[in-house]
Amino acid sequence: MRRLFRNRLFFLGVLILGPIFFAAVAAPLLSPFDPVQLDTANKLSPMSWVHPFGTDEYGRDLLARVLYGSRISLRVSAFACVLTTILGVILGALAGYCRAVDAAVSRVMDGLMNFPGIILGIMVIAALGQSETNVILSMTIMYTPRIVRVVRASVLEVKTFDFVDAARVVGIGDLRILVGHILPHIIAPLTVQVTFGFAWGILVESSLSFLGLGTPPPAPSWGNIISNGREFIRTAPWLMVFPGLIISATVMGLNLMGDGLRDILDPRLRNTARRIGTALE
Amino acid sequence: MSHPSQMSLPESGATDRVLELRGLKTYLFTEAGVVKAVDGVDLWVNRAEILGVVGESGCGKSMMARSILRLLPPPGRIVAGEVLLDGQDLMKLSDSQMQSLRGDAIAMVFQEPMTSLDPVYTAGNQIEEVLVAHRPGMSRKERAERVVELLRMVGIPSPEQRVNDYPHQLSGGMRQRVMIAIALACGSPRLLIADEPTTALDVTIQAQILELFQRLQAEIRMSVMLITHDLGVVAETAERVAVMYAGSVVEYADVDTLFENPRHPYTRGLLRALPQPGKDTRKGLLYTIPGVVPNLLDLPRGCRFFQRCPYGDVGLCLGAEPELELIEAGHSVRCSRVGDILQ
Amino acid sequence: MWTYIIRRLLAFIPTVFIAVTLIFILTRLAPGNPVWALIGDQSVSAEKIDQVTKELGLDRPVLAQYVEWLPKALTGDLGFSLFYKKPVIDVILERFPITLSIAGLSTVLAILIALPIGILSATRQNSLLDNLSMIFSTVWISLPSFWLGFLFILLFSVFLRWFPSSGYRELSFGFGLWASRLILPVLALSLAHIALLVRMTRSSMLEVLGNEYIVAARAKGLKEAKVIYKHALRNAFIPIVTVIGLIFALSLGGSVIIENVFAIPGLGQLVTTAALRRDYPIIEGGVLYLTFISLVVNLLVDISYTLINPKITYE
Repeated sequence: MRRLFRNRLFFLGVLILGPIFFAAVAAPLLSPFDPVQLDTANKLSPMSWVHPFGTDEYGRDLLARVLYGSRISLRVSAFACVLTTILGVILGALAGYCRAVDAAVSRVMDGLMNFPGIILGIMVIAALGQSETNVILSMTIMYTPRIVRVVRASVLEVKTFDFVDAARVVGIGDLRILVGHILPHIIAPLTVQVTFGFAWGILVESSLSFLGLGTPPPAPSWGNIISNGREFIRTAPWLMVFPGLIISATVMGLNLMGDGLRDILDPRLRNTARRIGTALE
Repeated sequence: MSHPSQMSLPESGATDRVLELRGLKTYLFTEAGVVKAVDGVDLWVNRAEILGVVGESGCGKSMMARSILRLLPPPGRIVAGEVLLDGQDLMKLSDSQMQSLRGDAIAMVFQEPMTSLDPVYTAGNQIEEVLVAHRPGMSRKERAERVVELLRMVGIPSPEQRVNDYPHQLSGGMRQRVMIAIALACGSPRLLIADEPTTALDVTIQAQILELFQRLQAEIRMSVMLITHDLGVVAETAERVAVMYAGSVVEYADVDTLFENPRHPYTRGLLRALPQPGKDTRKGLLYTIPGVVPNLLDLPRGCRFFQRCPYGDVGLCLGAEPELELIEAGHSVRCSRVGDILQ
Repeated sequence: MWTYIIRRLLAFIPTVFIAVTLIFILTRLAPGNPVWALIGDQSVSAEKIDQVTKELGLDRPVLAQYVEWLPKALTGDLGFSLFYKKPVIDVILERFPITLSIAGLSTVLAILIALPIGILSATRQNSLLDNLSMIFSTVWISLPSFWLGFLFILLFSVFLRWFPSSGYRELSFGFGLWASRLILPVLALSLAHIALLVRMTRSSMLEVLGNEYIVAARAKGLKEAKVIYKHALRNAFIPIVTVIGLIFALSLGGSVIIENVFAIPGLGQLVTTAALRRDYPIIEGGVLYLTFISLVVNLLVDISYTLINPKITYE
């Protein structure tokens, strides 16, 4: 655990993400402005002390909108991550443990992964309609195959270990073996994958919103803000620059955390140590 | 006592040393600290001689071999010493000069033929590229003929077919022979360094490979530095032996003397640990040297073998590290108590 | 080698089948009668709705619809679009080359830039180049492509006025016109992928460079360039080429966004607009096309494995 914080990547990621997360939670406290409050007198004004990020075409304070938007984006991605994890672990564990299930599940998962980019998400939204819930659902459908793959691989690996056979011989039922012995081994790769998934989720949610297929307006989802700001790119570029900056920072923070976690939790990636060991022979 | 490298073997007239290491020190500069993998090694290989270098895993023998060729992995650096090939100091050569020596004048055979051969190219291709690198004058046809000839020389049957085989299609013994063919590609290397050439092979193949070395030694006067942890291999094949422990040479003798009259406690321990057919070994356990190899990051002061040594004396052995001393013709030992240890 | 290729081709068929089926299921997921969406806002009588429903075969049980639809879809008969008043396939084919060229150019650019940087990073580990490229790649992976697109527009179109900010001109109008409109979109699309490929190339090369046969190759006296490019690169290439295939797929998906940013009338833009309008035949057809191309590229990547590493045939 302590190593977690000594790892520079992880720490840097937390350093970046922390304030953003905090800002999301504490949004109402941080900004005196209401994100949907119109104030047309002040519309399209650039950065100032009163409005650090400027205002949009309706005079709404951009910083406030971005702050409230962070709640939406983080929330959507978080929910999607939770759902994906639950679904992915169940499917992945079953697929890894039982050959028959594996055949069907793997096929379907591979099929889902074959859809390029966010096309799958677009299709789902087109079918189900635009709403926050549907965005979460479509993100879940898109990312679950990756989690299933990771979990399945872990389960397959651990399944061959002798202690599993030993447990079976003693008479412990399959389900208990699965939960008690195998599942603890998947926590490490799973955590890494979910962290990256969270980052991915933020990008996807903002991309979908930007296209007009995500969280419905007037909710100030980051993608929506950028989409609104399009027409003013020449007159009020800050409307797009700042939200994008925050998206990038959030995603980068999460990616760094994921990198750091991976360095710590996956000992096989410790190249240097291995090479010195073999060189000494 | 005189320095061993100044004395010659009583049998030969003048010293004709193909390779000589003087005070070689190779350290690995890692995040955890400085690993003194090779810490002051002196040894030499005479012409047309097979020198055995014996030691456990981690004693530095592989690093020493790599140092000779100047092929150290990144945290490693040669910090001191000379490596003389026919009198020429290799440390002073440029990279391209070293490159022209490697594979031509000095060749190396590695331990694991499966991992030492590139899996995506055929055996023939990997032998041929040595020729391409060192013999630019050869035509493609000449190279192809030479490759087949080499495979035949190392005892591979149907060489014309084997040329197009990939490493995974060949057996372990054949792969090792291919490695040897690669080493011999340019004709007559002055020195062949064989790093555990038989460890990954079964005993019958091992015998064949060793026999091949001896044949080449006789036919083309090739010198061999045979690195191994297996005393049996050394007894069979080598003429002189250097015993290494924790980065330095602890005993140096011709093979008969070493086996009949080992003077360093480590060597004695190694020999004692060999199972002896004939003696009643069913009773009791096989002897093992107690303790473990010291951590090269944190070497004790004084003699490195002290903690495991049955003859260790606190007064004599801790303090300064003992020097390698010549105790009789052609026989050197690094031990402060060598005189006191009775046979 | 050929058995491997044939096996891969055979495995391709069920994969296409599954993808196609999934598309069918997902577009039919919509609650309610899609005819509403097709008809639009016009107020129509119930009979008219019934008539159109019957015409489109939407009143039949789902399985029957599937059986009818499948052979048509596979042979290119994707129905008729009420919005464009043309067969779907025609609409798609008009726009498809545009998207393909964007995705293709983006992938090629990624290869040209990322491979050398990745290789150099690996061979000069911990040098300035290596550290810089690692930092940059971490940053670039995190940037949303649409935002990047707008930043480019801001910088290159608005401030510098080097390139136009939107639209598309066919190659027949002249190379300069065509290229100047594609530079920014292709660059914005490929940046994140370049970062990904640099990382992958570097890590794959590093792993290979730690292998014994690399040391053995140097011990033969081969020139360092030969060691790196003949031996190391080829062995490292399988994961690299896998990521290249992945990048192409990501580029296809990403073009959906980039075409929107730069107002390029490609297949991605088509699908997005269709999604907003619930134009199911177009969505179906467009996604089918994009997915199929992605699958073909992945198949080619798969087949290339055996060319790179002959050992693969035997597994």
